[in-house]
Amino acid sequence: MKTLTIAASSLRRLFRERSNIFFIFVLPIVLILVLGLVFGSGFTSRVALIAPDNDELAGDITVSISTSTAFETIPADDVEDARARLRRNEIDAVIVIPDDYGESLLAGDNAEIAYYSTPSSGGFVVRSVVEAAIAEQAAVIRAGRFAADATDADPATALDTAQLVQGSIAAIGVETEGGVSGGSGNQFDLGAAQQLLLFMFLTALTSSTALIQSRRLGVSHRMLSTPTSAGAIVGGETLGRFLIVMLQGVFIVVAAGVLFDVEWGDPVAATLVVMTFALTGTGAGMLLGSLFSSEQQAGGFAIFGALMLAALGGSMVPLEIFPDTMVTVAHFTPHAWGNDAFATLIRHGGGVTDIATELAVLTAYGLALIALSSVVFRRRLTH
Amino acid sequence: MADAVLECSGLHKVYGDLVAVDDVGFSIAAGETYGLLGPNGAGKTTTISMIAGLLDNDGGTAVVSGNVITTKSTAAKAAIGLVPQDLAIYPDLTARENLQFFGKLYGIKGTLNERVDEILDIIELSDRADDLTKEYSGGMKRRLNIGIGLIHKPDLLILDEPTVGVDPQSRNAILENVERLGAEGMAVLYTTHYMEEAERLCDRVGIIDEGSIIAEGTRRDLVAMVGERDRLHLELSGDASVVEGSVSAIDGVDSCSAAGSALEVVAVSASRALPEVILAVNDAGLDVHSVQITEPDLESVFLHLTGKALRE
Repeated sequence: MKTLTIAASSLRRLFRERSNIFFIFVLPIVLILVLGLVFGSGFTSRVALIAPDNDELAGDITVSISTSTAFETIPADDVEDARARLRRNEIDAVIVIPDDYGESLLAGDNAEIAYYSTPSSGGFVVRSVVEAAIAEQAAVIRAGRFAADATDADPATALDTAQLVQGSIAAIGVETEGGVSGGSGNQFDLGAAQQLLLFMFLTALTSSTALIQSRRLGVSHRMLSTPTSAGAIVGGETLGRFLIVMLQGVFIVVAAGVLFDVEWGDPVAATLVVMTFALTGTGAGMLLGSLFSSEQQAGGFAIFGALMLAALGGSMVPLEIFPDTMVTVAHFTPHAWGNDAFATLIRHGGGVTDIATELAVLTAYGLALIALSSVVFRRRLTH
Repeated sequence: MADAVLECSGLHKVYGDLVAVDDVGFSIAAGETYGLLGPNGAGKTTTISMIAGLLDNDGGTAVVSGNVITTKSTAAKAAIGLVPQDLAIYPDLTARENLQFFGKLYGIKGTLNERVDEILDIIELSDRADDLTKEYSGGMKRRLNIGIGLIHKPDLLILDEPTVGVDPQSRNAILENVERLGAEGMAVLYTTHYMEEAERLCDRVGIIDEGSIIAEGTRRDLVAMVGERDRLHLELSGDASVVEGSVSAIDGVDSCSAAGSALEVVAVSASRALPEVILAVNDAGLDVHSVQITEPDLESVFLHLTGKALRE
């Protein structure tokens, strides 16, 4: 009961400050809207495609790439000119199919398709489409080569046969993932998840200042002079911060769903992600509030830390465009696990069992941080 | 003491090499106001922190209303109301909300709202009860700070320097409240370094210095320790510490203490000592701006016992 009393006072104090309402509820929704409009389907990537004429295989892959709805293909002739336009951000990627593309492949050699892009969210989508088209064509070419080797047939004839066979079997679908356009979900889905995690953690860390204020004013110490155990005080302060972060998380989920039709996937699984992430944020915030002695220091560190972790954990740019090493590093942050979980729920329609690892990691993070912060805060109270 | 609300003995607290409190013991009966008088850093706050269950002691015991107090003893804490030196209130809650919050922590249930209204009346904040306390004056915050300590009708009220930084009007209101609480039967432990407050409020006084109680008794008992001594307060034209030694050496001067341009002297006879004191001051190149001669009081006692002024 006393734990609830302390938790309730944390909530009451938070909402007394009008600016907190803006930062906790309004700003995340505004950012989801803005980022969704800028990077969502309202924005179509433009790709320059340079391909040789009179090359059947080059023509095939050009058609395959051009028919993608993920971006707009612009024919181009000059590679240097196209790359210059890319540097000026007039286009998002350049694809160059070499002049000897078909000839090299029919001769059994390798052929390289050059791909240039900027590190924008559109770039990785284009790349995934190109890779899918190449993979599809490569399968046919490998089949043709195998047939030619096995039957001593002419490579071109074998390839024609392979293409004929391909037409009679189920086609390989090329699905664009990432929510930038087309594919599953809408333009706000992943951006909303990223902003949700960023803001929940930011709120959790910045709420540490209220804990420091209570200590500095002597209110925490005064609570200890009442018939209230140190455990109840620590529990109340922790619960209060957890409720604040959960409230924000639930609000963003509901508001983004209602306002922007964001599909969060399996509701139970999405709720568990929000809860475990809130637990982690609460632990981190409590630790910060227990370690620092001044609100100014903690506030500065909280904003810097929350933004750094968000950037590192894929809440500012998608993890998909991170190099492999950085993806590994990113998974030291709770954000990366949260983003992975939402990606599974939103893109693949996954459920609780599909994100069990992510939930376990976030829970472990949360419990470890809360245990550590409880020890430190209790020491601060009683020594 | 048969009806003692607080009994403590042998209280001891050490921080590293520093002995903050050494063998402190006293008792307070119901309706009695006990003053713990000492300069800053004497060990007053550490002593009351142990009595209020905020600090574990390194030795000794404190018993409140029959319950031994430790940091974990909720029964003893329920009998104590603590008014800390800091303004331990939430600035972003109203006075009513602060009182309700602490009332719930003290376990008050059905009668909480009535009790909150009573306290608001007592501390004269009823008309501002629903304003955020960050908009209050220093004196109003001090009154609320005291009100929180009274919310659960404690057997023992501990006030740690409750008038620090308070305007004269609020200070007087606080002192009147404490007098009334004592008269109503509450045991009060009052720490201060203001001698006038101790003289006005306290039935008994313990003088604490460097962690130990060096004298205890009623005002009359303590003043008798000084004997028929006079106290001289001189305001000089410069740093009084330059004449501290020479004045102390004057025949008939018991003790001498300098604080800034003020010089406190305890002497057997003010009329005999004063000419020589003035001469010593002049010899040091200073002038005497004013002289005040008073009867022995607790300040004199402290000076007599420690050779230091209370406000040092």
